[in-house]
Amino acid sequence: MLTSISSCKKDFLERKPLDTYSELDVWADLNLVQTFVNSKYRALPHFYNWDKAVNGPGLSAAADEGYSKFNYEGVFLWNKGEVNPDNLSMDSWSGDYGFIRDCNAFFEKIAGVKGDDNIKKRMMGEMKFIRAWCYFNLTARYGGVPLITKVYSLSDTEFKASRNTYEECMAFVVREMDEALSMLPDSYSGKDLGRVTKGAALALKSRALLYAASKLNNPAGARDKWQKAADAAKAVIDLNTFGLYQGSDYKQIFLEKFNSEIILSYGMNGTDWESYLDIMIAPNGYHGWSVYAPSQNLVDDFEMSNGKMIGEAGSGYDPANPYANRDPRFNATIIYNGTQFKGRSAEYFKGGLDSPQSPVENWNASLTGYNWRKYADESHDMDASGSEQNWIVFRLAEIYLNYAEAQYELGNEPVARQYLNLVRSRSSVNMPAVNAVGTALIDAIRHEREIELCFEGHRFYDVRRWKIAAQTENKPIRAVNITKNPNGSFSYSYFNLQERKFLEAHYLFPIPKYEMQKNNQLVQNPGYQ
Amino acid sequence: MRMNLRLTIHLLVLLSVFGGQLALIADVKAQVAVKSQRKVSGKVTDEKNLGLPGVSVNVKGTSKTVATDANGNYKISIAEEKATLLFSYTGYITKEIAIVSNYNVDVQLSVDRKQLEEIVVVGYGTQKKATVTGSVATIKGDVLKQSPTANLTNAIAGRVPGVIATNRSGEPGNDFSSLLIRGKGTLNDNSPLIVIDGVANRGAFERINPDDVESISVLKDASAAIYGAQAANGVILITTKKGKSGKSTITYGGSYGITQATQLPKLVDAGQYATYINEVNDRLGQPHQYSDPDIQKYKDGSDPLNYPNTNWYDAVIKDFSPQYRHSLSLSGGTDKLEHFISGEYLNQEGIFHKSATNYKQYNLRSNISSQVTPNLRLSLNVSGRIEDRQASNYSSGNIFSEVLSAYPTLPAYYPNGLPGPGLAGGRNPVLMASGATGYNRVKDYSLLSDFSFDLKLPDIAEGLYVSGLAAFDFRFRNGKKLYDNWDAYRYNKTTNEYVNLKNTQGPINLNEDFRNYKLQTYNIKLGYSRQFDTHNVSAFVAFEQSENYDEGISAYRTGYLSSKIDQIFIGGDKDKNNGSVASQSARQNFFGRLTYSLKDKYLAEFILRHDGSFNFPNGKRWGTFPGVSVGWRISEEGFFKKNLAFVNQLKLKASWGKMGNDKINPYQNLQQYNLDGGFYFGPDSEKQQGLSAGVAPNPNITWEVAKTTNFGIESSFFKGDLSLNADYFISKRSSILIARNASVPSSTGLSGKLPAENIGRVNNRGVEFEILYRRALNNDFSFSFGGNYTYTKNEVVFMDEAANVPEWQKIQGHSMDSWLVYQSTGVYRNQAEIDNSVHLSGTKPGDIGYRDTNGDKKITSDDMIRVFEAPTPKSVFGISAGMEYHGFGLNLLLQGQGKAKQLILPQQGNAITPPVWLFENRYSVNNQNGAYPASFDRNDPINNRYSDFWLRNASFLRLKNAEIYYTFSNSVVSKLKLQNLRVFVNGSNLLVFSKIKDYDPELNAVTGSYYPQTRIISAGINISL
Repeated sequence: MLTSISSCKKDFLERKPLDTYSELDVWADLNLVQTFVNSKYRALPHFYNWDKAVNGPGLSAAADEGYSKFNYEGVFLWNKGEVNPDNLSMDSWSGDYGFIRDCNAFFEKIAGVKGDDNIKKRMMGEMKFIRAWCYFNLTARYGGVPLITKVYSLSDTEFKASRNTYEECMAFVVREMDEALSMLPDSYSGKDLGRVTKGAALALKSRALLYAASKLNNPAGARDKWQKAADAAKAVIDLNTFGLYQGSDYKQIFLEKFNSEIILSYGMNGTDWESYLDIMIAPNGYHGWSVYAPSQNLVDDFEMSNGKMIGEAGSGYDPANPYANRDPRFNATIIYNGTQFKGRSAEYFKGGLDSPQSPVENWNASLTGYNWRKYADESHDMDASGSEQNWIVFRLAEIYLNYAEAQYELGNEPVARQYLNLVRSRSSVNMPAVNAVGTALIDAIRHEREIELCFEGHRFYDVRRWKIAAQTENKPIRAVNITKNPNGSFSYSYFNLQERKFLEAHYLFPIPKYEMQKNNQLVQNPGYQ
Repeated sequence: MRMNLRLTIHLLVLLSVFGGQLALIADVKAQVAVKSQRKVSGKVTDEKNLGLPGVSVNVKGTSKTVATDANGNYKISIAEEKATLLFSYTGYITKEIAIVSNYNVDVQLSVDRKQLEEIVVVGYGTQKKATVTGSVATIKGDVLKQSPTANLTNAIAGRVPGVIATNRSGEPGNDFSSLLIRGKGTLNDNSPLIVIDGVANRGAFERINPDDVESISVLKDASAAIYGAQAANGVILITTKKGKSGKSTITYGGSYGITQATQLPKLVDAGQYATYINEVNDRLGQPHQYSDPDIQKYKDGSDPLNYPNTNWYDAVIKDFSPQYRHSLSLSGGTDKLEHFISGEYLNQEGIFHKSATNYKQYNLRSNISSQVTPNLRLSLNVSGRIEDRQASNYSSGNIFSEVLSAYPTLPAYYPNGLPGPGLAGGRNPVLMASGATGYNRVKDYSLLSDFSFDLKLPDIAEGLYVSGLAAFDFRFRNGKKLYDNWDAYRYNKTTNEYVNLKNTQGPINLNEDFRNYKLQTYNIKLGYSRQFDTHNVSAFVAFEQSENYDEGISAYRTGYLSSKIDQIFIGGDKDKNNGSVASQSARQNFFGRLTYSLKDKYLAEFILRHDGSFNFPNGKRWGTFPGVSVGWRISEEGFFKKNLAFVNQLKLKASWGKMGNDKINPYQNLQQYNLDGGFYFGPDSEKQQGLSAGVAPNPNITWEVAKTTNFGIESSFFKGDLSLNADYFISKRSSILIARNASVPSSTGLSGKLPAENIGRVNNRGVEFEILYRRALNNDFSFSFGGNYTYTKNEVVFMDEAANVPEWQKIQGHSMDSWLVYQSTGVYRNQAEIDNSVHLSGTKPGDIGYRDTNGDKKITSDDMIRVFEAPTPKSVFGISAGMEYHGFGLNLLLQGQGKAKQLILPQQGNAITPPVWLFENRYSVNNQNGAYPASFDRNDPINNRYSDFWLRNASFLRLKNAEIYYTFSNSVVSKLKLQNLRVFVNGSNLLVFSKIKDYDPELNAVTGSYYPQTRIISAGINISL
């Protein structure tokens, strides 16, 4: 009897998981492969994510344009100059490498999958983009990183890899995007809208080459690097697929999904934490949390509508009425005392609804006296669900400014001015053209990036690649105190909300301690040893 | 592998053949002569001269056995000229009476007080306690009942040497103690195997009606090897009560009790809070949040509307909550059919005001066995249970984190009685706890049934039997969670209005899920048990297989217009979701045991199990697990009996066994892909499905192996009044299944994707002592006093650690549980102290300083050290005392733990409101000698670090149980036509002595946001008729 039972044991114990796909299932079915590809889009930057740290707002609060009152993403560490291999903020090392492994696995398997070659090719393009984004993101943070294209498994005997150079990583990103071009379509329709296009691949290449040409990574100022950056930006422009948003309301760029200016955006439909955009940026008086808020430093950098800075002679700036006659983008970007928002005036004056003395959830009041208006959807019931507007990864205005910057560095000032002024002259902005030359022109281009691209995750990297962070990030973050006078007018005074400190080491992120401990072949970034 | 299997089968067959041959010899001897028959009859009575039914009357040396009837009478035919009758009955001393010429033999049996003949449930059988060679601890059902706790695991704490029971929460329905047998032996899952009525993996035993429990046995050493591959963490066997033939007894038990939190933190009031926060702002160089007049108003309470002052613990938790229980059982039977039928109802309320938390439990059991023929016995045990858990839609963790994070400057209720708004979204913890916000209802239904037979085969060989079991368990779960809209008000100072936040709480949503589980277990056993002269042999071989299947579906909808109809179908169409799960498992094993004793003096046992688990791939699936133990009852030696008559029992025992552990996620040999959150594409960003890769496959994954050696001594003296037991064990665990998360770099992309590998090694050793003295001075007064102590210490021989970890942070070579902390140098009193030391940047006077352990002039994580004590204690003890005088009785159990540490960070996580002790003794300009840091909040990067500054000694001694009872005397009871009447008052967690005062020292939550442990005081009655 025992032998007869034991002979059937093999079948009895041979069980399969019932609610997961096996490796054989996935890599034999193109639909499942597409499903696998889908969730890899989560590697792209988005509004908020508890652990992946690929978010724009955290980067904003870690730069001089913003402040995160609840220290989300641990940005105080950047603010106070306390980031080190132990104390990490927005570390993306293991998150990015997780996605990279998935992409590598895809490339190992995709050739063997039977099915429509066009779809396969497109997915290869998508995955090349996602992997290249991860490497771009890693190099932007850490400099050169181990360039891994194989799939590690338990049978490997060596798991440690040393760092490749910045140039090697960048060359990989560029090569991958060049290869992806022939795989990706110009555009999508229907349920595929939002996937990676040729334009997105070119835009990533443009940003990557711009970073690679900048002082941080090109201290000798090699001209060919700027030429490549210019060519890459021009390639996006020459696609003629995208156009600056010419609607009458500048705010709508950030609310209308897939408008003409958008090259790539991260889909949101109000269901996950990563879509809690409106509630995190809105003032307390509207039941928002003011998690991320603009600084007075940024507010002061908006030009007057006549194109002059507020401190400039003849600017017309009135300290008693500081928000009047500013660049139209000011009103579209910042909620300030008196902004008409969701049916009433915002009240940042002492005791006002949106002030720290508010009767409404005052612990959620903005400490700077401002909130984001960029991305804020006034029609959104923020208690009801998450937000629905997409988070923008690439848009054409950035590419114009990339191009302007590269052309300036190549000495082509007229072209630089032309593209700078295209951004300023869109109908909803209509700011006076910049006629500056020489260093005044590059200052204007950099200033335009600060204003046009604020909160979108650029400033943090821009001040680093320009190597000006030691100046910009060593200044205190300022905030406004507003008092309502008996006659209804307001008095404004300013104070330092947070002292900021920038160490030379902070031009790059530290390689995390958890990784240094595991891999003795890694060399730590300077200043973190 | 195949070789191994064949070897095992051979061994098992050999075992049975060996047994069979012995049987043949015995059979020949038994058929010597047949002579004329005579009939003997009589009555068997107990100490009170009442007839004892069901007593086994056996003609010694033959198979001739009868049982006494309901009145204790028996009749038996005897063929032999000179015969001896053996009268035996469980719990009584067996009596032998020689039959010479007498035909009427009346016998009085006396209760076996020394319990030397006590029967102990071991794996797949029972053994006489006196001759057990393994380390097996038992606890009787009636001892468990001294505790009013609703959860059986809590009644075990302090009772059993070798068992570490820790209770982390008092939440009704989740108030269990986690049980560790002999501490931790693996870096993997350390939980023991639970076997209920002979069937493994039927789920937790904690919810069994305590009145149904006959005994609990804990197999701690090689005696567990009979459970082979699942035995490495020890085995807990629960045996439920069976009917006894004789007079039917109906027993009612009822109790009513109150529960309350054992210890709660005291948080600062609104005025103190405002002061504290202003100080925090001062230190950050930020403006004050509260003006001096504000603070004054918070302090004096003159304007409760605009300046509330709320103690959130008081607002949320009430002083006591009810718990009550009724149970009824019917026990009895004839010599052909025995039954035990019982029912229980339990109701526990949460400790909140208007508590939404409530647990109800309904238990039904029917254990029936039938002696179909003298050789065939059939048993059917069926038990059903409903566990009805009700709570707020916010978990107790949410509620307590909100209690800690709600400002004391917020009102729980406004002076006009309207509820306050809470921190955000109307999340006023008072409302959350009361269920105004919605509900979470989980009902678990279980139906456990096992059918078994036991067939004696005397015609083939005396002592030969075959038995078997088939168990079918069904469990079903229905969960329903409603997120509702509720009334919470925000007072608008400017308009003098109370704004209802009901419409701002987001859409009403409902989540419902159903899940069912099916477990089938079959075993068949061929055994042989016989006494030959001075040799006692018992052996069996068996086969068992079990199979589990479960599946479930869930549904979610939002956008309900109202919660009046809380059904899925009526929800909105926009955000809805369905889910489902399914899993299966299978196990198959061959096993056997041979027990031999010579003169009840020299004892030996051999166990072998060949185990197969679905968890591992073909070729790695089967493991062989032997166990051997020996014992020597020195007290049975002639010289001992002669010279040391006061020693009733002195047994030395030793065992060695190899056992396995397969507690990991299954199928780690396969690459799996799981559905994940997907991504959003399309014009409206519709969600599209996504797939994530599971762990990288490990094709070589197999069993974890424990090799356990045990040395023990069991003794009893002075007619059993005093007993002393001690054990020493060492368990070496190898092939421990852990993932190489610490050493494989993240750049491989394998973070979180590494499978378990058989790489860890841990040695665990320890000692256990148990002493019990009990004495009955006369019929009216008896007392007992006892204690037990367990100390275990594990040492990690190999684990996966990062290569560059500093030596002082390595776990290898140390105990596996530890805190990794900075070493504090105390609070800096002035700037000079800071300037003269290595310190963190930004350190100010009043901050905690840290030691630069590695001397690199920087404070980095390399300076952290390990403190090898953790919330799980290394030592536990229990002290029990009891007495009975004229029907009055008192039982006490003190229980405690040592060598345990807990980190409590008073300003971390959700904590916003500081505790009073932190506030009152903080460093400040006026209190430069304050023991605690200057005011800091949860974002403070210096004072919130894990450091020994916040590490607390979690040793404690507590009065775990106390019971006072009165049993009415026979005269009163018989007048009332009852069999028994007893009233009692008892309590659990009555007092605790510990250095941790603000929480229960058994907490395991660094931030303190958890449902606290509870004290229960209960009064009740037991009636039998």
